[in-house]
Amino acid sequence: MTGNEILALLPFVLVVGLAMAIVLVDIIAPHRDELVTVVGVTGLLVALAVTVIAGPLPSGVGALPAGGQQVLGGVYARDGLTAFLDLLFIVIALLSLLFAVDYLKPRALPMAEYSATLLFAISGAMLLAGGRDLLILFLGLELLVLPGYMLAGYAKRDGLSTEGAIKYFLLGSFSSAILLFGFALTLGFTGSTRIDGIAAKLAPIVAGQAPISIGLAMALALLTTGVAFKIAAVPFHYWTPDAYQGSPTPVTGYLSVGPKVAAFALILRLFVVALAPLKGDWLPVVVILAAVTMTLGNLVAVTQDNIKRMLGYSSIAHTGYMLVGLAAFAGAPVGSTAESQGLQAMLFYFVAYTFMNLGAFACVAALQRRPGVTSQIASFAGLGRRAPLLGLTMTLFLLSLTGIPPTAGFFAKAYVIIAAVQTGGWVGVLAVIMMLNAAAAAFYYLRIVVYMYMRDAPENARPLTIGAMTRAGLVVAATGTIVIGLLPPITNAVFDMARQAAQAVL
Amino acid sequence: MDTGSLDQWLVLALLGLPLAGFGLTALFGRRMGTKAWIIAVAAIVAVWVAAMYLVDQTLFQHAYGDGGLHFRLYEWIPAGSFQVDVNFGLDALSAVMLIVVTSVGMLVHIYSVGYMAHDPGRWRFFAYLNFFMFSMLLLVLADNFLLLFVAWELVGLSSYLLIGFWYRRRSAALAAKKAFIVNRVGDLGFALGIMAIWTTVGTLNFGDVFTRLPQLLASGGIQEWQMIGICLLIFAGAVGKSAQFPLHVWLPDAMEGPTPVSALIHAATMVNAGVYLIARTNPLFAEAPEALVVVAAIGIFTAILAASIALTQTDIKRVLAYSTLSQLGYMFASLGVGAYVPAIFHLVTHGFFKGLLFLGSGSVIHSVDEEQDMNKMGALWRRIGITHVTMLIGSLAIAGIPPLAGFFSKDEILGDSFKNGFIWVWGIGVVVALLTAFYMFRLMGKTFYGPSHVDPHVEPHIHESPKWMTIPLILLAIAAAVAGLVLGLPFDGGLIHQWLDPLFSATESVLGHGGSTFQIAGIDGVLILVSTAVAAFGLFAAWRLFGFFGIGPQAARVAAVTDRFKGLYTASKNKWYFDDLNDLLFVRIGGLLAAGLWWFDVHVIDGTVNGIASLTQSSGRGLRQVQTGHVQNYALGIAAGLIVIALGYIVLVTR
Repeated sequence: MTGNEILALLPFVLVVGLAMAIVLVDIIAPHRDELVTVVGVTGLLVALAVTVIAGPLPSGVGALPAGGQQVLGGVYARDGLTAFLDLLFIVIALLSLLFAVDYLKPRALPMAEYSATLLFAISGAMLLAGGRDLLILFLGLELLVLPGYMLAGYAKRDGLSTEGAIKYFLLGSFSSAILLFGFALTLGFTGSTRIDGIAAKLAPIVAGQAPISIGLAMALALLTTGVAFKIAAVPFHYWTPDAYQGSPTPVTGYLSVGPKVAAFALILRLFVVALAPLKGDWLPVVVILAAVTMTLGNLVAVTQDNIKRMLGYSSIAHTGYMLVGLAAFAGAPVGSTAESQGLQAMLFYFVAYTFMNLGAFACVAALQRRPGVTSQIASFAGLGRRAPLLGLTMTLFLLSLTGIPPTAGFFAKAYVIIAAVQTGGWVGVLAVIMMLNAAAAAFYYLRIVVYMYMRDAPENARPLTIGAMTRAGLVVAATGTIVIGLLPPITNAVFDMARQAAQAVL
Repeated sequence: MDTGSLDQWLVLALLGLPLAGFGLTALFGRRMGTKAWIIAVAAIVAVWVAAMYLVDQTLFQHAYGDGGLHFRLYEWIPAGSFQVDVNFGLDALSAVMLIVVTSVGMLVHIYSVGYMAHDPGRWRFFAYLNFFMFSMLLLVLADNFLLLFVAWELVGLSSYLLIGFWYRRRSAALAAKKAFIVNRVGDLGFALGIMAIWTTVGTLNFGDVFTRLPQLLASGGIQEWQMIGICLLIFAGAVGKSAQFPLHVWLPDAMEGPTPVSALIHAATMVNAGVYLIARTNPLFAEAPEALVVVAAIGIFTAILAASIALTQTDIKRVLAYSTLSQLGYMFASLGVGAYVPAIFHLVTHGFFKGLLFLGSGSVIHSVDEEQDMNKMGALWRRIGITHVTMLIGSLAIAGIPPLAGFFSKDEILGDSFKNGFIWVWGIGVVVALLTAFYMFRLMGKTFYGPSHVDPHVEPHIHESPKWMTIPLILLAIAAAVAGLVLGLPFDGGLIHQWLDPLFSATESVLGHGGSTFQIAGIDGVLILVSTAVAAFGLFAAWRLFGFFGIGPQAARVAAVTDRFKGLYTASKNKWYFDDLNDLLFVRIGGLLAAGLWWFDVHVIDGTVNGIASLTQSSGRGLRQVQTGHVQNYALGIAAGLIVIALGYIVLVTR
């Protein structure tokens, strides 16, 4: 193996190693939550640095060539997209660790188990980000979701948590099987498991030299269903509310972001590269899925009184918005700028969504630090006065989720809508639906703000203390949310990274 | 920023200081207790000093030339062809606005220290007030439509927060909502106008828009109706913000807010934003004279409508609110007839005297234990001397009695209407001048000169307000007295004309106005005499009916006059039934429609939604159901989805 090949694999290896190190630490020095957190955070920061050093990032940052570095005979590659997504996954892991410490401790839930499981899941996500072979992709996917099931059922003595985890596991396995079946059919019809190999085999269909067969259509249907489940698109979202509500709040935060973005990484490799020649065929399905997903997610979110369920449905709606970016790619002519803009917008959305959604869940977790605080929206009554800074931070995340300038969420939505409008046609209609949805969503996000500032706190409310780790995490998330929205150099930097990442799959 | 000169930093300081004041007061004000005002007031005093320097640079030193100071802070929205910068502009128009906004703003802040001294929410009040100042300054300094629109919404938000400041009072909360919703109607038009501008010229910077749109029109790139449409859409925003007919209904209700807010936001600054907007976009309106006629018509109609309502109201603040509507109507009429400088002139003088009158009314209300009904006042002039004298100056100023401020600006409006050929505007305007003098001295009579109807329990406690409140009153009274002389003399050539004429001369020449010279011994002298005589007549009539110093009121005569015009009187008292019309249209008929939609929502949408929600709901039902029920349903749902998608693909590939 050459040095570059090692460097390409290093971030992934580091995270896997870190997960194992944490297991070891826990064996040597059990129940040392602080130690575990320090090891975890330090390790992730190292991984973050290595990922930056490896690159390839815009303006020549990173040691690897801008075109990417293939490893293991080409089944895995570190290109712009891998670097972009890996950075994001490490940030997700970092924030998920920081937010969990103060929540788990009062509940006597072991931090080491949580950290190790989370890091294994993240390593799966990182494998997905660079996978260029169906087998690697499937491996990555299972490495991502299996720890996810464990995390969902991690509060073993909590009936809701276990129930949600089992449902998540059963339905998740079902969908994995569907996806695997789709892989099998794809292999059968193209004779390749390589992403670019499949694309090459499918190219003649676009050129009109070969008809698309019913079998291939079945493969498309299975693949679509499989990934739609993983990103929690309607009507394959049934598992989300239960899994989200039952899980410990920091886990819910992770589940609403990590697996979703990772599943989109799968979509980027599978649909955007391998199935790109058929994009005219899957476009209508994505358009309908996007429209249904955001509309239903928002409609149901409006009726929720439980904040975790509400944010769960809101994350479904955000899935819909991200799909609009995908549709903007698929609807645009091959090689056009609109094609690239759709993907950039989607990637940008991931970044904004990571900060604001994890941040919002972290605020819920901070509020619930003392066991027994319910997830009812009424728990937020008077928070603006009980804990002004927490209230302000939550407001920031909610405004960003709504899409109000100058937050990251605004630019995320704006870029997606602009890309969709440029593509036009039915995707343009989708942009209109998205705008209507964003307006409707303001209702339930701002309802929380109303509760925080216009309702009085319950008489027996006890003072809130926010742990140092949570505080640090909130600072990171809030800074990300505001800086990406307010400071154009940062906005542009993120956008440039998204552009380079999009180029890797175009 | 392009270059980092001191003046640019000062412009930024104008925005940064109140914003910092807002942040600090919001964070620490609560802990500062009765001293919560310190940061906020200090910030605004600093803003005033900086603003005066900039005003001096702009208007007296001509440091930036006729075009003004323009600079870009940063690129705000870089998205392909859609690019908007955060850029600011400071020209003569902005500078004149700065004078009013910062001066009245500073005095209102100082006044509020006294007025809000006993309110436990004072830190919130000062924080909001600072936030408003930030928004308003952003509004006058913005150099593109989008930034202006942001500020436009921010002042709306501050106004909403401050009207509903006493949010536990239902009427205040409702009034805040009403203001917000009515404003949205106008803002929708404005937003559409901005979008129309962007789609036609592809930029939102003022300078570019003002040169390119007329060019496009000249070269046939757009039709005339499009130009008129854009102007009318912009005007819709102005109608909402400046409370012109038919969106005038929110302003009187906005008086539910604390009185300093009424003075600052709902008299001297924010409500003028519409006038500023039309003046700012004058190069567009120059190409659409038809739109200007609409502006004039709406303005003068609002002027007489509001004045007629002000005649019969008994709440002291409501009289002033309707008076504000009426005076704003004057300003729009002035813009509509192409008299831009007089409109801004009136904006300035009105800012001073109406701010003064509102603050004075606050002082009156304060002295009679928060009573606002003029029927429960009277004979106050000996008891609260400073308030009385300052309000008398304000009333004489608004009535248009020379040589006070209102005389000069109002007279220029009426004179230009006449000379620019809008005789009907002039005619109605003269009637409004009569009504103005009458209702103001009705207010003065009922409050200060007539017999006392003050509650006997309150009577012994009547007291002059503290110095915090009287000093701003005195300063504003001086401004209301001399602003006209300083700015308006010589007629049609005073300072205000020297400052602003270069800005509007192009537009005025396109419209074909402004050629005539001022003839004191000719038509202009006659017009001045007419309007002054009319104002004096209104003043004397009110004095006869409602009393003035020693002269007692004639209650019997008032009753007789009221009786004679019973129909008109009731109609005016009921504000020409606009609230009832809105109630019928939007609350009752709209309510029925909404109820229908609600039914649809509950039975059809919620039914569907709840169906899906309950399908996914299993909280608290225990593990048992994992084996028996829902997971199978979920899996079934997924399978059904798969089948639908598969069928969809088959249809797609075999088509």
